[in-house]
Amino acid sequence: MNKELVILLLSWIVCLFLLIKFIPKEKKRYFQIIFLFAHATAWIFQLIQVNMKLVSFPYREFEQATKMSFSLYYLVLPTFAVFFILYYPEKKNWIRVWIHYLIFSNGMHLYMFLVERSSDLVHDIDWHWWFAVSIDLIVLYLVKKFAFWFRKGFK
Amino acid sequence: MNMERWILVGIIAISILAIFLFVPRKKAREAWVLFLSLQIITWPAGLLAVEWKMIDYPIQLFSFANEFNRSSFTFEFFLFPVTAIIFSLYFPKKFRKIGTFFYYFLFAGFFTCLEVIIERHTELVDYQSWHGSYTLISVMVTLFINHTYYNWFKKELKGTEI
Repeated sequence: MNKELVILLLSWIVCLFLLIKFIPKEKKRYFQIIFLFAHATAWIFQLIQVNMKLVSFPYREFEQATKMSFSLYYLVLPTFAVFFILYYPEKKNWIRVWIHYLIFSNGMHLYMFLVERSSDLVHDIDWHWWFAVSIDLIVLYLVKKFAFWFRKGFK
Repeated sequence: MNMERWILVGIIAISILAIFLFVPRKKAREAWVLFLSLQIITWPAGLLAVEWKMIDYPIQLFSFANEFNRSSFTFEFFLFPVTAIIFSLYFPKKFRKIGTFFYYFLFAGFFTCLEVIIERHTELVDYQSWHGSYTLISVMVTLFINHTYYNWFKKELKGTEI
């Protein structure tokens, strides 16, 4: 088994384990909708980045059908977003909120960076740290906006 | 701009119009649930169908699209989700089993007819080993899964009656 497959399998196992283990049972609908929204958003931003030729994905689950990565944006990034909201410091001051944003956006990029270095899953063509992190920040912000709006509709 | 692209623009415009016409404001959250959960199914399924060379979309809305992604944006991420939203929001509660089946059949049939006509007369869709009946069945199954998920989800949403 090649290392790309090992990384993908590990990512699936770890993400599913974390989601099942840490999401509060009574709030599972709330976190599921966050996961779904993050998937739809991340996917559009991935398309933009691939289109701008900042990054490419040489080893892909769907080799012919797409130039984009599947698992990284279908599962890993939404999982980050779910935990971003789960531990969001709601009643804290803006510095604490910013630190939270920075931890998660950099965390996402760190994961991508490590995958880039160790495998052919991600290839950095012209992918600046600040650009990738800014995009992650936008995604997280949109997710937060959506999540906080959506939760008003729960009983 | 050629004929094909105008059709896509038309489909997208009608989809957006349909959202404004058929989705009441207080149902916005439910529509989001339906829209997003459907994508979790169509995204991998659409890629798989292209990957296995069952179906191809020679012309896409943007000419560069096929360079990056060969599954169809307009059908799988616009027309189908909007169809699913209207399908579930107006799902008849009083029908018996046979009536429910016809309701599924009606929506999937509409979707299939549209696709078959487009396949025959334009370059938008090209069936390779695909067949119209596959669309009919897969759309019905997908709508069923999506509707079941939606029914489970809305149990904890408030104000769900139209």
